[in-house]
Amino acid sequence: MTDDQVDSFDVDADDAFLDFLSDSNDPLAAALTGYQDAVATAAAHRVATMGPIDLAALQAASSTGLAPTAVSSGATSWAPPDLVAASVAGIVALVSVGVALFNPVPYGVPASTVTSQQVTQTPPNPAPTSLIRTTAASPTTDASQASAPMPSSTGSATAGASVPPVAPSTDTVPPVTTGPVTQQPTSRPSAAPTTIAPTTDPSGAPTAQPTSDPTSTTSPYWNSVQVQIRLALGLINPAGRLPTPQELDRAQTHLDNAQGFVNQMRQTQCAADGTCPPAVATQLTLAQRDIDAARTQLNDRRGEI
Amino acid sequence: MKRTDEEADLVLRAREGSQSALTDLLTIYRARVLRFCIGRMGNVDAAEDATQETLVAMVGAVARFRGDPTKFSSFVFGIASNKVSMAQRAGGRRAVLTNDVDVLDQANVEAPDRGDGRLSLLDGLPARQREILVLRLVEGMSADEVGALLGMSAGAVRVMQHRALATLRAHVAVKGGAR
Repeated sequence: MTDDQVDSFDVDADDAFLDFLSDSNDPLAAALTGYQDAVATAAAHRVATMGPIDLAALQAASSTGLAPTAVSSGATSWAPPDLVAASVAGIVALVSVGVALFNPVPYGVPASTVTSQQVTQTPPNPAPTSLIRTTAASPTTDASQASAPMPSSTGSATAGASVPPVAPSTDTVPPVTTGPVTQQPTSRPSAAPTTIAPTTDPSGAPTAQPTSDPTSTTSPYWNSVQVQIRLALGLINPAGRLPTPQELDRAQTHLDNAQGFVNQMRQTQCAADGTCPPAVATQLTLAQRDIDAARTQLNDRRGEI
Repeated sequence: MKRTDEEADLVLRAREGSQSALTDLLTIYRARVLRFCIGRMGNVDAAEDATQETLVAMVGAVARFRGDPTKFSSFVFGIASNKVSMAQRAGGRRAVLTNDVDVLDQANVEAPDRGDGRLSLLDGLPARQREILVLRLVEGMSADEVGALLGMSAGAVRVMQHRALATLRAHVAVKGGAR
């Protein structure tokens, strides 16, 4: 694209901007759509860890004009767990002697609103880290996010820019057959994949990761399956409107990815005769059920639009 | 019913005291505002804080909102923009997301050859240009909508967008040439 063309699309028309973004041959367009997807994915994952809106806490915070720590009765707190876990007495002591350089501000609390009195009210028990993150939702059971607004890359009807940045969604196949799988530690089939991230479709990238508890029997693929399903459901059920065909195509890709992870889970964690450890068998059943349900929704949506 | 109509209905009902409508509005805007704040700040934790501040302000303001309900998003993003600016003034810019292990692990979207600072792409831009690009890119707003939100004409928005893109194009070209 020449500078003249850049000038024209910038100044004259919004549609041209979207056309520009969909030009995968333009490095700037690719960078911007990559940025777009990175932001959307990061937000989607963060929202997926949040519980439902705690309206009462928000209203309490709003009505007092204070940071929620000051209005918290212990049910909610802005303080991150590591701060809560720290010695509250130590924090109070530091604040009380006026150590100005030490900043005990829980993230999210404007420094100007934190007084020693407020700090002393920080509940000693671990609590949700914020009012908008009221519950540490488990990805294994939380389907409530399905109806939450998920990150359409554009967030509007001008969906031309929602095409994955580098590669079309059709390039994304279940990771069983893609390059990323070869990056997994095949010598340790029970170990979590280390770095698996295809360079083509960020939104459809595998998300397999080790569980936080190495002794857990949770499959390292379990979270990946759930994330893919959740992303798909978000695209299938955008808030307040019907999905676009492009969104449904992307949802299909996510479901294919999820199916790929299920297959991978079965291959790496079950015996050759098909017998699986009980925990894995349960997860496989649940995952397959969720995928099938999502596919049903997807097909229903295709019929509606 | 279109999304904007549904939102407008929620706004009207929330304004009249409907708790369920307010909760629905907050649920919708939690995700949208978080995306906006991540785009503006490049740091998910800081963005979550700013989002929380925005939602608290939104709860307090919705009953007093007397504008066009279909333009409620401009109102909310205006609050969010202020919260982001306040946070940045108070604490300065935090580290960019590339070291945010939590997000990298959870999302695992950062391919090895693309992971160095995709969320820092806009870091070098002036704040207003960055804001415009975020609203256009992340929220999919038109230049008219962005202009209404920022108190600028659509033409001025496009000009600033053009300057931002020109800067980024030069940056991308330099990075590409360096490889």
